[in-house]
Amino acid sequence: MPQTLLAFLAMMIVTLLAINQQQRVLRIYESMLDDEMEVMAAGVALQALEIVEAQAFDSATLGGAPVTDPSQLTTLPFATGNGCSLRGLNTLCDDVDDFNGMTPDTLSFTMRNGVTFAFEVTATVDYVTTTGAGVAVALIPTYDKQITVMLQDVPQPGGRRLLFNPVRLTRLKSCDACS
Amino acid sequence: MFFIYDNLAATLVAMAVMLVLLSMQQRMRDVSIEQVGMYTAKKHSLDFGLWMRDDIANIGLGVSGPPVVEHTPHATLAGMTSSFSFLKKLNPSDATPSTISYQLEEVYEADGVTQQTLQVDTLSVPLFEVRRLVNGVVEGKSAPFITYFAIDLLDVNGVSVSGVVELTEQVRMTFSMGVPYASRSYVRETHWGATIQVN
Repeated sequence: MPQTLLAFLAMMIVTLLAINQQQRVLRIYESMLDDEMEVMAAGVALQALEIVEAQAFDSATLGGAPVTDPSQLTTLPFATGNGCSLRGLNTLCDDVDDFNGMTPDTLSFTMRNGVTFAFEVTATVDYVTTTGAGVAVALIPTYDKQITVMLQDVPQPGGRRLLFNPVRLTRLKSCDACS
Repeated sequence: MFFIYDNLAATLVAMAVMLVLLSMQQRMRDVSIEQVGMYTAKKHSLDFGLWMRDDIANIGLGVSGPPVVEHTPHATLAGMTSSFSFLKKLNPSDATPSTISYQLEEVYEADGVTQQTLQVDTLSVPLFEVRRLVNGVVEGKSAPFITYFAIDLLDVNGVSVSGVVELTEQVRMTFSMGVPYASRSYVRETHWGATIQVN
């Protein structure tokens, strides 16, 4: 009788260990899928950043107009909710701060086997100061803007997202027409 | 008789427990290797994508007149690029621009004859590396796990142009990188792609 009980106990412990291990393996696999999505998202984020960065620094510098004082630049807070496009011509958003808090646009990544993943892309833009120890958000206009693009994958059927956290990519853009 | 039966049953249970523990140990070892392979592929992909982006964004830097870009599709693998080259000055003080080339090269087994492959689903995908040449001299290369590499030259409207072109406004680059030690891995490849604006 004691032997049977001990055997039963041993089997129970091993079963518990196996279930724990299986759950851990599943978490690792989900993390690997997240890694795969992050690589795709990084490429898409870079592309979105290129499009935002290609716009004019500010509405005051459109057409290469010279700016001699930061107070001539767009004042804070920037407008939000613009319907900017990250795929083609931007008639609504022709300078970088127009993309601040934009309505999410969708960019897709198509793998060579034809499977497509869609990402919702938004952006935030801040004035920053680049002097001193690093980059700090400024509360008044400066000659540097920090563009941050954020991506989150569109939920799969069933509402599940493969990216655990949004991917963020940041770049600074300086004003060329300012002096 | 009962004594023998008890010992036999205990031995069987002990063996079953040991087998389960061993199989768990082996499984965790395999998964750990997969995880390291995935991290390696991710790191290589992001690094390779970013340094190619830095190169491509500066096509024609310091070159007077339109930058000439040459693109050769792969002879047998549809959609893939065999080589891609362009001019740019590596340093502003250079008297003449350098020719930067990206070339897709097969990766071979130790025998030097058999091309290395990666099993992706039911397909055996050949492995490549992308070499970066400056004026014909190899100056860098990707990890030898490239399974797909495509460069598309685009005009201002995003329409593909091919061959030797004088001016390209955008370049779409796409590549896939196999996961090392991926023979039984859950994720076999990572994929990276972006359309880069040429400055």
